[in-house]
Amino acid sequence: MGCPISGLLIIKSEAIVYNPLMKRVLIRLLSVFITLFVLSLMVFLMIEGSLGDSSSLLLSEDAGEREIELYSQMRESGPFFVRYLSFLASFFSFDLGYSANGLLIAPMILSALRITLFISFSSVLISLVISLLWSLFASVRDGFSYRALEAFSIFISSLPSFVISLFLILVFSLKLRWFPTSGYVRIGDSFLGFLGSLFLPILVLALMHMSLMLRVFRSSFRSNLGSSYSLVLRSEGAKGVRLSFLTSFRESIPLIASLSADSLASSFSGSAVVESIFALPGVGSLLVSASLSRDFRLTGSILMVVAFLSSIFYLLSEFVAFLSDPRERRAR
Amino acid sequence: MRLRGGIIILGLILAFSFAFSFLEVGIDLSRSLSGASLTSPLGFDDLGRNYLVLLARGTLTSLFFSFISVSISFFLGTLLSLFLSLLKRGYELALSILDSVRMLPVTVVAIFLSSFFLLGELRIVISLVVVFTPMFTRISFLKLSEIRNREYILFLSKSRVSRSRVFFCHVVPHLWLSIRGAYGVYLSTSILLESTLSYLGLGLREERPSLGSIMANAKDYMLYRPSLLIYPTLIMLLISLSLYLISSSLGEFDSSLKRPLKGKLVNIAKFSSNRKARGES
Repeated sequence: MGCPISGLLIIKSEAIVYNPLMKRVLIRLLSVFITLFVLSLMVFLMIEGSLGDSSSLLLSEDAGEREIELYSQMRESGPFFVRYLSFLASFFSFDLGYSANGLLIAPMILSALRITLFISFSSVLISLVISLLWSLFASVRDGFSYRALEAFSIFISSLPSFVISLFLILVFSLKLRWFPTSGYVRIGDSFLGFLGSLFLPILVLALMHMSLMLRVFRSSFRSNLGSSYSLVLRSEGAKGVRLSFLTSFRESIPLIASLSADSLASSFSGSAVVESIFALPGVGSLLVSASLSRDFRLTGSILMVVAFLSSIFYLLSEFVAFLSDPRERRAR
Repeated sequence: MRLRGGIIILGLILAFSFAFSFLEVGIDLSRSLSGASLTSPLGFDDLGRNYLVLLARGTLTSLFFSFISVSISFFLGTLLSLFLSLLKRGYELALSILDSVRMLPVTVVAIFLSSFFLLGELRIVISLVVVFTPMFTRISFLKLSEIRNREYILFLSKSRVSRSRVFFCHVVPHLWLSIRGAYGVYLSTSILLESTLSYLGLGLREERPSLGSIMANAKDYMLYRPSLLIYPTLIMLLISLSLYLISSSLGEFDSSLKRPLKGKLVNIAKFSSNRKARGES
């Protein structure tokens, strides 16, 4: 009995709970909100608690009206809770305020984000293609291909990205003179110059991603070769790389999705170093320069944007994993 | 074999850094970027400092601060996971909050945190501790749950042995055996992260050279003196390789189970040979 609307709500809520996709989406969305809440609180507390940050540099002896207005915008008054809510509201409306230099933060991050996302997506795409092909070959043979994969993977993961960047600059830019040592060329100015300026940064990030992808894909493909459906395919005449591809590719789509999301999120780490070395105007170099000048509002805003994007990447990877795996869809 | 190899490489690096780090570096601009000599087999840097001694000091600094930070994270993470495992409610929320920090790109978090502290030593330790504590908490919580569900622990819990005795005498000692492999992996990661922060100028102070700051100095002369870049890279590579070898071999077996089993097998073999010697069937 009871109100028909409440009955509808119950039916709807049951549909949500028993729909595995919706359940996953709700859990992941909840985790996105928890991440953003924890981070926003951390960033807010650190900005509030910090004394002598770069915003106070605006109030020098020759500070004009504009500097005083900017400073008052940075230092909001009122009770703690109200100030925190206003900080949160400004983040979600993408009104991130002003940096220590008096520039609007939101457009700064947006223009830098385009370059960082281009580098990140390109590096993940390149590393995925190479890792999948190499792992397919290495999964069917235990010889040179596998040993080369292991050695390459250990070698690259033992070095930080700045060391790889410096050696690539030394070889390709200073010795061979194929690419510029640093700097960014806009796509509108010269397409080849644009590709040349981004080639080495993309290569560094792709190598970093490949060190993880190669090992994971190879062990996944190898374990799939021992499965019962692989035996069926083998009995039908499939062998070698074809057998590995038929057995593993569809099975590996959730793995590919989750590794891609992980690599995209970690690209922000790599881009902070790589963009600083290659002098690219991306989010990473913006973060490093803001951190060196102790511009807490800008570093906090970048961290929150990066956290938000990373959570979105993980969310999308769960969608892909769910949609590509019928066992997940059937699970209730 | 791998464990021995890893320990030997790490031991050699430690011996090298301890042996040469106490020698005088000496700044002398007249010998700036000059080549190898008897007193300095690796040559001199731009400030005329003995590169061998500088490298030994940098290695020791990087190892020391990474070791301190990872050990603090390990201690805090294990303590936090022990506390969470004792809770009956609310641990999921605490874990999801820690997971939210763990999922963030580590270098970005470390750069963000290092901007808040002026003192180099403090900021590097705090940044690394904040990055690695959630990782240790998560992994030790998982291992703790797995150990508590092992058959002999369940058996002891059902018997008259007190809960605290089971926990501290049987569960906790096995925890270290399960997560020591992760300790090696995170130590290696923290050395790379520390050198990255020092390279970017967000790590240790300039007067305390680390591998990252040495390389930041060397990059300006890499075309004329690439060896200034190659030596620290080799050290970094060897440290990571040794820690990889150690952690991968430690993660493979549980020596607490292996040793008694080995002893038992020897006893069984002895018993069997004694029986044969006595002519028993």
